[in-house]
Amino acid sequence: MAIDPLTLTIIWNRLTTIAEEAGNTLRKTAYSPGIRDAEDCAFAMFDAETRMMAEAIYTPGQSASMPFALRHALDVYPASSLEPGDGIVVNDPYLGNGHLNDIYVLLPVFFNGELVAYTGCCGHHSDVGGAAPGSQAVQGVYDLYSEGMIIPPVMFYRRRQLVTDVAELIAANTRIHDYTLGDLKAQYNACTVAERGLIRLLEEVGVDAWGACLEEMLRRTEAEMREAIEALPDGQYEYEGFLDDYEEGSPALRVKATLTIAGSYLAVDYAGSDGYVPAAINCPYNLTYSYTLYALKAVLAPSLPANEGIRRPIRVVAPEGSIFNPPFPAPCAARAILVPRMIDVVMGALSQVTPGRALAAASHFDNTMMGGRDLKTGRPFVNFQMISAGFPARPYCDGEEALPLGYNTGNVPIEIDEAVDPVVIDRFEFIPDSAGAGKFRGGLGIRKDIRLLAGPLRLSNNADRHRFPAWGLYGAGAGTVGRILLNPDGEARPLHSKGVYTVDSGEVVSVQVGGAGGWGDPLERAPKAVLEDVLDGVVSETAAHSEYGVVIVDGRLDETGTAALREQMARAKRGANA
Amino acid sequence: MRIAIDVGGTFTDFAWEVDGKIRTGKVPTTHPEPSDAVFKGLDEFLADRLQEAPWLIHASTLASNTAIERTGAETAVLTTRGFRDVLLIGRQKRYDVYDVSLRRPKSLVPRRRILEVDERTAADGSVRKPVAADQVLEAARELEQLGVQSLAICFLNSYANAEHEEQARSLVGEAAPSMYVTTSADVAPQWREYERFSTTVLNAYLGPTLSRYLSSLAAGLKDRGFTGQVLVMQSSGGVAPAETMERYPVRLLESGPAAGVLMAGRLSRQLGVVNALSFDMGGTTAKLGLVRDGIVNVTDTFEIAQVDLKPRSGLPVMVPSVDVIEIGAGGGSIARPNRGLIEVGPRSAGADPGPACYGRGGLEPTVTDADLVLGYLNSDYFAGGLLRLDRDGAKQAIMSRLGDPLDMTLVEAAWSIHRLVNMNMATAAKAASIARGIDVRDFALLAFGGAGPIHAARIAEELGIGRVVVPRAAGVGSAVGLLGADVRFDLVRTMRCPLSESEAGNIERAYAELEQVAQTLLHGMASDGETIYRRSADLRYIGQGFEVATDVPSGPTTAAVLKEIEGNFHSTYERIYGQADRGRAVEGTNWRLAAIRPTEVRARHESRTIPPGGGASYSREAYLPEVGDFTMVEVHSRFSLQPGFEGRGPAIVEEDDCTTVIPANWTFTVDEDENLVLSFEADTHGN
Repeated sequence: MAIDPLTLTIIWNRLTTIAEEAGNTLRKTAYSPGIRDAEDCAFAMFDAETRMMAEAIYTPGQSASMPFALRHALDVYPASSLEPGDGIVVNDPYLGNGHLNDIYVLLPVFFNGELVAYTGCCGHHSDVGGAAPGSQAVQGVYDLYSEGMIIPPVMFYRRRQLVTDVAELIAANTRIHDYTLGDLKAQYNACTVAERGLIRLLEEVGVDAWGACLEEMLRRTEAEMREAIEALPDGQYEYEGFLDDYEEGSPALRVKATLTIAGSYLAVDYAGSDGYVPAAINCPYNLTYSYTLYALKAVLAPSLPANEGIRRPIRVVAPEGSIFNPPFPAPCAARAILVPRMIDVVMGALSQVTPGRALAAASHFDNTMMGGRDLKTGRPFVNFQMISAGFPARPYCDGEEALPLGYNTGNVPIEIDEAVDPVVIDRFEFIPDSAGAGKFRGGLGIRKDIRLLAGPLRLSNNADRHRFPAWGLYGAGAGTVGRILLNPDGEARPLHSKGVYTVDSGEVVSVQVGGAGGWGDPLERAPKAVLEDVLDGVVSETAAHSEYGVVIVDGRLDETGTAALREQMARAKRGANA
Repeated sequence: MRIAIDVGGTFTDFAWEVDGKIRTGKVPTTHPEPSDAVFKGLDEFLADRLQEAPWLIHASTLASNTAIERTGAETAVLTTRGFRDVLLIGRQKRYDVYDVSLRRPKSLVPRRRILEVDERTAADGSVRKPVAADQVLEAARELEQLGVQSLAICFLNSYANAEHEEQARSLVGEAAPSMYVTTSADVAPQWREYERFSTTVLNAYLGPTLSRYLSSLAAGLKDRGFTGQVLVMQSSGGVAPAETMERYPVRLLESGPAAGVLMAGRLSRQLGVVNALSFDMGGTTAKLGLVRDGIVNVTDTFEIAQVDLKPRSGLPVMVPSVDVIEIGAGGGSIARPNRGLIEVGPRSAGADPGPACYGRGGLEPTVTDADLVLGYLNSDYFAGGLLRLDRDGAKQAIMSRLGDPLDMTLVEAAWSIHRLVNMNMATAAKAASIARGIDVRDFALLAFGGAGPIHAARIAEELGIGRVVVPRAAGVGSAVGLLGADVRFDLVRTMRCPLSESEAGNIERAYAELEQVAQTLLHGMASDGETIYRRSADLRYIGQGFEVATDVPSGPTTAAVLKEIEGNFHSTYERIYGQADRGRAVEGTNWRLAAIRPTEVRARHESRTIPPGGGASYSREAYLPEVGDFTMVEVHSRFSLQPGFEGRGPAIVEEDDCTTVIPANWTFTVDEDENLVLSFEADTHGN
């Protein structure tokens, strides 16, 4: 069936609209702050062959992993056994998205009695049981079983009826059973919103036109992805970095990516990366695949729709037993910690072939969680902090302030945190002189101090780049390292980036996230831009002098002094390099 | 007598009503002093009658232009120590997940102008640390010395207790009496610090500019003998005294679009249509608004100065605003191939160079070019004949940039542009209505703006809407809308509490206090009639993070009323999201009050005489795929169609500033108010 540009445009747009509508419904009806406020969720649709057709753009990893989750679910419930209104639920990290908190709900779509598509969504649930509130402790967990409840693919709705036994079993295994069930129902409901949208579309255009458009969409997306790869010189490009450690005293973990470009084919291989570890930071392959794809797409084809077509020319390899492909049941709750490391090294490798496009290294997020009992309400609570800091510098401009790279979870308003949980936030501010210096500087680091009004509480940290800062590229400086201090204004006690502690009412947890890496020689930065940063108090006069060679006197630029200082610094640098 | 003036980017429109007749006029807007055009128009149209008018109603794009073009006052912020960067950090989400080259819009206030003082209020309103008065005084003096004109006081948790902000306000008043001062709890007393601070900063940023403008307007009017009251249109679609609005200029940001939607509201009541979708399509964007039960839908948060109209790319504003969905679809929207698909908009050729057919150097095909090629527009009678359209230029642009690359004929390419821009608008309308739990199929589409009536019937078909209304003077619709604006002021209080009987007293107290504030604000209003207090609340299931706006019956808040509110919430929730959870406990977060003094204007447009040569009907070819290719279509002059006229599509109706296309399967009539009313004949379409 030949497809004209108008019909193709109409159907393609409609598929995206349907996914967005369902995604919106999910976000607005969810209970977990991760889903409703932070948008740590995903919505996508697949054809009967499980090829991704369209997504609502929220958290790219969850949607990129969804085809794996769907295929595994169909291994348990073959397509022939499914009926309209069936909803399958799964959170097994090795089948889904790499940790138990991400629960998928998947629904078959029937048209004229035939299974024609699937709709599915994922949401980060605040708690799925296990050793620590929030179910994401890095330490003190031995294996996947100690992290929380494992849900293999099971039928959660059968012919539009809630399977109450399963629901009860799930609810009984979380600390916040009400919310968990509310969220799962919201997820199922969102799947049915898209189901109705797809059926309406099929009624309008017919199965044949729809099928032909789908083939054409995938073909074109694939062709464009291949074109983008083909434009790069063939060869192998490596980059490596390190994860601080996985517990106090443990060794740093090597993270290495090798990019192979051969014609219109691209492979990323994590060979050379360290083996999996006895802590919950191992990154199951699905998530390794998903965020590698994200980094490649963001640099090579940011505006291409994320359907099956972009996956075809790309291969992601992670040696079995490595931190990027651990064996079941290695613990993995906090595996998101490896995602920025992965994006950074893929960007580093890409920067060698696409110097005008790839980014420096980003600030690493801090995902600190505190849980216990709220004395005022008597209710158990989990306070979930997601602190993102600097976006890396780019070959064409500074990194943005306070924006994450890869994941896209926002913050929870301080006033809501304080109204709902027994905490008071003492500060939420940029850290001066924390950004990597460069022709373009990185985004700044951020400090957030959380004062506890209840105790004793269990605190679990989930952070990195406390030892290895975010690097700069092409002569730029790195960002600062981060740290977490208990009671910063008293006898400050440094906490480990992945430690689990008991803290008490009245104590203050000070999270200080380091800045992002710069791009290009700092001596080439426009002196005016350095002056602006000094006036805004984010770069000190001392740093302007020592890192940028810019002389500022009484809030004004000393142009002659700057020229002389820069020349002297450039000479010294050349001397050092000679 | 009433006078309404709408200052737009290009034209300043006038509408006035005398003895039951509405007249309209138009002059070019003047920059940088928009009041010049206002006075010019008044002198021209109403020179000796100004003293007769008790009210002059005013809308302008001054506030939004000031924010978008960043020409506001030198502004500073005073905030709680430790929170200097709340405004710069924002909600920390990228507005585009995959585009790593994206840029955040710059803050209106640079970091060096954000100063901290010691003070702290807790979430329950209790004081953790008193205001350090000396620090406030010192900051005020320092800022004054730096030439700062305007100050936003933004303290954490001030929504729960405004005391500290008020203390700081009076201290600043002592130290820097000429400073324009605005506080966050006064401007937007709701939780969510970033959104509240952002709103407050905008208020401060706009304050001096708007105050200056409103005073020069008042002075000029006084000189001309006007002794009445100036009422200003707010984003919420209600007017309020100019003096009050000098304090809340942020409420004027969407004043222009609000006036447009308001006209739709007025028209819908006049027509006896309870539900309507207003559709205003101009050169760059189309604006859609929802009117339910004759009432214009109002939303509590929106964004200004977005990047490519993308959500989260702009500055959040937490004040009530007419719910306008803006889409990058207008006559100037550019069509281009994008990976084999056809993309129409959001890029626009604007007014300069404009569409290719304007002959001003535009080379890219636009919606107007397609409309011309398809025979919908008359090349000799565009904008009343002011501009001759170049058909060959349009053809050339469509073929070279779209038809040839995608292997389509001229007609295929032109029709694709027309069809897709319609679809884009219909999709946006559908998404917006679904998100609000509204089924628009029984709505009427009210079309205005230069390009609206060409596309209206097709969009109606896409949406399953069977009735389209094109009012007289559709080109100056906003000014006409202003004439019928209600006096209105919206107030809110954040107070988190469950919908339980024990809270009934607190809830009633909150509403009573808001009513008192409203009375003070509307006191001295030269408006007749009773004030209506409409209550609503933002409710949610305990534990959720988003609220649903729910109607609340008028007081007193009894146990029975609480039950009713809860019932309203469940059914609203169900309508929007498909299913409600009736067993679950409900809580309220924001309690809202709209104080309204309704206005009824029952006036007709003054009849117009038929312009020379403009009255005759004739035929020309137009493309109507449901009939098959190009067909001879009858073209009527709008001025020749008298009330009671009945016709049948396909047909085209032309007037000075717009053209209405009536496809086959539609009939049309002219009603007593000279509205053109199009009806879809369902039986012939099989829909």
